[in-house]
Amino acid sequence: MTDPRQPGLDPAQALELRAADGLASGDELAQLRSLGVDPMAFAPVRSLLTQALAPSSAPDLADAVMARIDGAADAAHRALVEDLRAALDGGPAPELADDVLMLLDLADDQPGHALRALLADEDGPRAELADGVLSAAGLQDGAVGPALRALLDGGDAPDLADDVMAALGLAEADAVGAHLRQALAAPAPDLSGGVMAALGLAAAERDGDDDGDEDQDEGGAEVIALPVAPRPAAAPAAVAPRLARPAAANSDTTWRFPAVALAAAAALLLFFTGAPSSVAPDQLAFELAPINHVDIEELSTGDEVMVQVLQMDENAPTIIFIDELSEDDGGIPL
Amino acid sequence: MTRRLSSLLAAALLTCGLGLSSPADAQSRPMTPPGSVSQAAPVRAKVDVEVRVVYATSAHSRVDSRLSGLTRYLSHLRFTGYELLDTQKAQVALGGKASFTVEGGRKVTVTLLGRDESRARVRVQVSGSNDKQLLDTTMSVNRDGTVIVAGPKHQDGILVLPLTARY
Repeated sequence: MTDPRQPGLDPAQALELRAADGLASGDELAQLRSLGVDPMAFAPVRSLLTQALAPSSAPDLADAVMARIDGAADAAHRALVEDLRAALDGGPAPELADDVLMLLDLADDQPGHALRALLADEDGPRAELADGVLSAAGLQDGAVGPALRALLDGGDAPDLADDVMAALGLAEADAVGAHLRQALAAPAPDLSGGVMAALGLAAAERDGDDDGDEDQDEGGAEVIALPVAPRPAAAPAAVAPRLARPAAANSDTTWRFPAVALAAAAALLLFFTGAPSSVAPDQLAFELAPINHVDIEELSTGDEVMVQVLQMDENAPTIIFIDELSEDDGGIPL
Repeated sequence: MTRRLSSLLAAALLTCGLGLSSPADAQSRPMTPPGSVSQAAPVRAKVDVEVRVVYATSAHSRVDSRLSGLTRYLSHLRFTGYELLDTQKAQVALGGKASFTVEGGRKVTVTLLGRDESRARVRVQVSGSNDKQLLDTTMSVNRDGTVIVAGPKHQDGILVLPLTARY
């Protein structure tokens, strides 16, 4: 007699097998006990078999899964870096792009903290920038004004020196350095929110110093609406929240040095916009306009100077010929 | 803060845009007839004043190839050789002036008195090495037009100074 559910086994053997498989009902377990068989005697064997068979019954996917996760994380990281690079390069402070991206390359699970620490460091980049601007020009505070004056006086247009200094509102040349220093130390526009937005780092991930600054944070986020491209939807769970999280908050950490640097550079450039520049003669060929009309309204000469106005044809450039009459040669004959 | 940032950046960009046109950029602009330029091109805030320093001499008959567009007019000066010594340029705003120091310590100062779409009104002052005034004239020249100041002695010849106002 065999069990119909287990062909080849008698009823007792079938019960033992079902009990070993954990499939026996309460009645069947009682029946086994009545036959003198301990149904729980198979439990250790079943456990051992489960442990022995389970690892070998499926392929080891750990490495593949981790590689997939790492690959997705790397892709998301690259996308993040590219987005941030594009945002920073197109923003007001492209010179800071490398520094920001360097922070992203740190093996830090919380790059936002490192960046925030950098931005919050009053003695960090801002101060270094101010010193850098001055030192790049080989100047210290007190030397800026005199150097500017010397530069103007020694240039091609020394007569413009007073005008330039006056245009800058500088009664004293020594005040230039103070003005520049003051500009560099001016209150800063808040760009950190935009950077954090580009990083996909939300307020919750930052320090707790944002309390009570919601209005300012919203404004800050509006100030620096950096163009960040959409993030990949398939980013892994460990990365996706960081990418998808909106930058709704902003700290009181500020980035004033990019704008201040631009303003300082613009101010310095303004000094020289009226100064003539010399171009190597071999670089330029003279191009004469087809029409050259000159109407002389007034003309006066110095002593011992004779002037002739020559007009060859209608569209030819007018020639104002200065003949310096001197005692030795009596001028140049025409 | 937003306004402050915007103001700073706008000032910086405006200043850079107005003051940083490179010589290459300026020279790469096509030379078009003043008549068409005056009616089509917008009037820039500043005028590029260019001064070329040409040495005219009878000691030789070589003519700098870069002056080929000018020699037909210079031939009336009775010199046989022309050499381009220097080219200087400056951007001049309305009411501003630029001074150019040329060979022999002479100085050419150009003041922009006004300009419109077709003409620029300038004052040209030329002084000698001892600051003695040689010429002081006020004139209007068509846009991108050239006027030539010639005559200051240099070596065995003279200096020829084509002045061009481009904008």
